[in-house]
Amino acid sequence: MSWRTVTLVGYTVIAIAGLTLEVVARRTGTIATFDELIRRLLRTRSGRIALFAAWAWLGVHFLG
Amino acid sequence: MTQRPSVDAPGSNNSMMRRLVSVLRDPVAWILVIAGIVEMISGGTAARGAVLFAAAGLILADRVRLSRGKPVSPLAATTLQEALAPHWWPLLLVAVGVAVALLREHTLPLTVITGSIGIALVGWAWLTGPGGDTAAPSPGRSLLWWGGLFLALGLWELTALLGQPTLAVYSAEHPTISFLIEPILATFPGRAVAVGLWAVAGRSLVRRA
Repeated sequence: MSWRTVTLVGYTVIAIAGLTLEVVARRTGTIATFDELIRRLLRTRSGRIALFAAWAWLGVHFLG
Repeated sequence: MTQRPSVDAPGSNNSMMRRLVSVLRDPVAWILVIAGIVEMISGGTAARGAVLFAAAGLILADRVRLSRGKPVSPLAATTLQEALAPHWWPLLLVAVGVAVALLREHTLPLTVITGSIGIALVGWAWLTGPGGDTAAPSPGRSLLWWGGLFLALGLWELTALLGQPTLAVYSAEHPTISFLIEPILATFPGRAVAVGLWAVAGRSLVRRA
């Protein structure tokens, strides 16, 4: 198995883990969904600035 | 008998040390600084690093003000939120995304557009944020799960980055997310979708803030 395949499998596993986390959060309610987490983080000054910075960085990193 | 000044009196070494620790203890600021350094040494433009360093600076500036006992007085967030409220906004943003996507990626005009909007909204988030962090409920276990997921993604991306010939040269054998997305962004439809999604995500953040 090449390193490329290993790397791509890693990204896929992480993506599936994210989707699983969201499904578990919606079904059980034991942890916050991604949307709830964002809302909670936006209520703190550091979290709010970090989220907007992460969004801005995505724009300049991939597009700018 | 002369009364000795308290070791915690304002201006004393102990008091200044405590203030310094309270300013520097915010992990979010340091995560942003580390991300900014990684961005810069891996061939990123100054604009990319500047967004992250500026955000870290704003958080540290907040900490300095709070450590001096000066409350952060936020401005009202509702003006921009109400302006973005109508349901036709996502459609407009996607249309703007399509127009902006006519520009080539990684060129100065697109950097100026995304950078200006991004920095403006980071500034807005800072000016309209809550007065302090104490009243906010802790995300606790949720943050552990979601944080762990994003940490795993960050470490996996870093592993791919370190597998490249140099940090600034892509490798097909060790593909980073940027490398995988690059061919999509090189096409007009891919760029239009990406710019539209980025704009809609920004509106969504403002509406939730």
